[in-house]
Amino acid sequence: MSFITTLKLYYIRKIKESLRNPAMLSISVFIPLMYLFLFEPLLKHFTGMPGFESGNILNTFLPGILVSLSVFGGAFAGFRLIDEIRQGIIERFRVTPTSRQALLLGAVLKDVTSVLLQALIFTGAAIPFGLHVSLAGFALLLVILALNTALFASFSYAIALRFQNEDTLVPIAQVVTLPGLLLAGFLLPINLAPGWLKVASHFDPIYYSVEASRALMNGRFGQDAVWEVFLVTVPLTALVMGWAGTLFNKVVR
Amino acid sequence: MDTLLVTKGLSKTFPAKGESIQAVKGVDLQVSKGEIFGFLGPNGAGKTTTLRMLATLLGPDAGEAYVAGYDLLREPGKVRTKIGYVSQVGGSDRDMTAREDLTLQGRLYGMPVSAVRHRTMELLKALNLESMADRKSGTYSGGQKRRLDIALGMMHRPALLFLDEPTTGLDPQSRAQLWDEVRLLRDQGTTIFLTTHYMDEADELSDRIAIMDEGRIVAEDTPKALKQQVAGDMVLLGLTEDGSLTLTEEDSVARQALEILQAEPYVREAAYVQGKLRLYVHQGEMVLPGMLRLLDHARIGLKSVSLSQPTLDDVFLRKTGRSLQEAVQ
Repeated sequence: MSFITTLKLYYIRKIKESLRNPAMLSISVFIPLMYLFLFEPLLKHFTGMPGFESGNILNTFLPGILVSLSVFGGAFAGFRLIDEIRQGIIERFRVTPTSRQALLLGAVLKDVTSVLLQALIFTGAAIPFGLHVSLAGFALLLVILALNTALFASFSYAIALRFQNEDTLVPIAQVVTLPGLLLAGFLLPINLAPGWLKVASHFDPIYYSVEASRALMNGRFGQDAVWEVFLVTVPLTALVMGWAGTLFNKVVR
Repeated sequence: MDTLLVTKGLSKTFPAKGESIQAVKGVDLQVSKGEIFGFLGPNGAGKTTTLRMLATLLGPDAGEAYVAGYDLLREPGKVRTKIGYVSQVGGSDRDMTAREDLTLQGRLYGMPVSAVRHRTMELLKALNLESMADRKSGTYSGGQKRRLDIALGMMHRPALLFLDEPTTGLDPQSRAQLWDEVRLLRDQGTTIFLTTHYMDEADELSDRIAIMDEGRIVAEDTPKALKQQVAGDMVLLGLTEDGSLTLTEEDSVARQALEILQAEPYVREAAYVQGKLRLYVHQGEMVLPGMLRLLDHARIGLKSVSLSQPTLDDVFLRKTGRSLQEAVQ
């Protein structure tokens, strides 16, 4: 059976799993809307700050929040995997003559699908609030979000496979996500930070995603971050996915 | 007789704090086509580890194996096409219905859509899951879930089905039902390899068994042959009513009975203990009528007869010095 056929089977299984869970679906739409209704009104006085984008305040804030969707959407994916391992589902799939990489990739692609849909809904909903979207930039932004989701989801799966324990996954996921996003300047541009903090942020892969997303949303294709993000994120994602794939080979329950 | 599975020197060691644990120490096994092979041993004996190696889930550290016609170490992918595996926890997804899960399973084995539909219906019927086929398996009872797990393992019609502790946690009725289903699978041509810590499962359900203790095989044969090797059946004959004979009279009657019976070829050991003749015989159920006739002929009165056959626990005890029941945590 071809890799693509197997991948499709595992991917569709995951999609159906999401659709069965209306609570999770509504939350993913709910959160962006909460940002728009509860947070955006507070931003009216923030225009014209140094380091901010010109034009609507959402053009500064929204890209970072989109990146946060990809980070959170990926980092907590491991919980369901732990549950599946406990039920013996992963062991059962491993005995079939199907590729372990297809199993991993199917799950990661579902996480990517979920985040991209959220990003589309969020961005679409923000336009009436005044967000200005560069279409070409937004398309590339989606690619960055996809990569970022794949990175964090694979990492979450790797931790889930290695420790098979929620009590280990929770603190690791928390340490990696919020501090990572803050250091990347996801809400307020890290340009506003003192020197040492700015330097530190360059060691955070999420920093490049946030900078690139902000640039792309506003049509600034020339900014360094736009190519730097691929240089940083693509190898890192490949490495983490490779690690998770190897760990899949050892699961017994 | 076709051999469907053969292992030689299969071993597995696990690293643990400081030292390593040898879970499986050089296992040699042979399973013939069309039999139910039982792998009996206390918890921690290494049965599940062995099973996982044979099912391609764990890599052996040493030894070799041929499973369903393929070299386990060189062609695990091909082995996977021929085997089914049902772990102790099962592997069915509690959020999917039986029908959905079976369909997925069939597609994972590359079965075409129409074949999948047909086989799903066949299995749902055979394993009595039709009435709940479209409810999430999380709502099933223990026995129903276990049947679904077996159906999943059988979806692609494997030549060899591995079952890890298939009846653990089931009530007696579900257990009996499952045994019948396993026998039916065997009758239809599937070879079954199951692990168990239940003596009766090894004894009554399995055609041949291997007994494992602390990583080693300590015995391998049919349950009957193993039990016969150990001691033979025990026959207890109560000679007289208490008090109807004097001690000396009782003694002489016993001696006479012993003399008669010890001459018989099927009697291995005989003694007079606590008012009863205790004899260890070969195939007790066959020879008992003859024994009774002999004693009757010699006018020796009997007040009671009992026949007990050795159990696999006796076999385990003989081979390891411990009782299987003690060893079970």
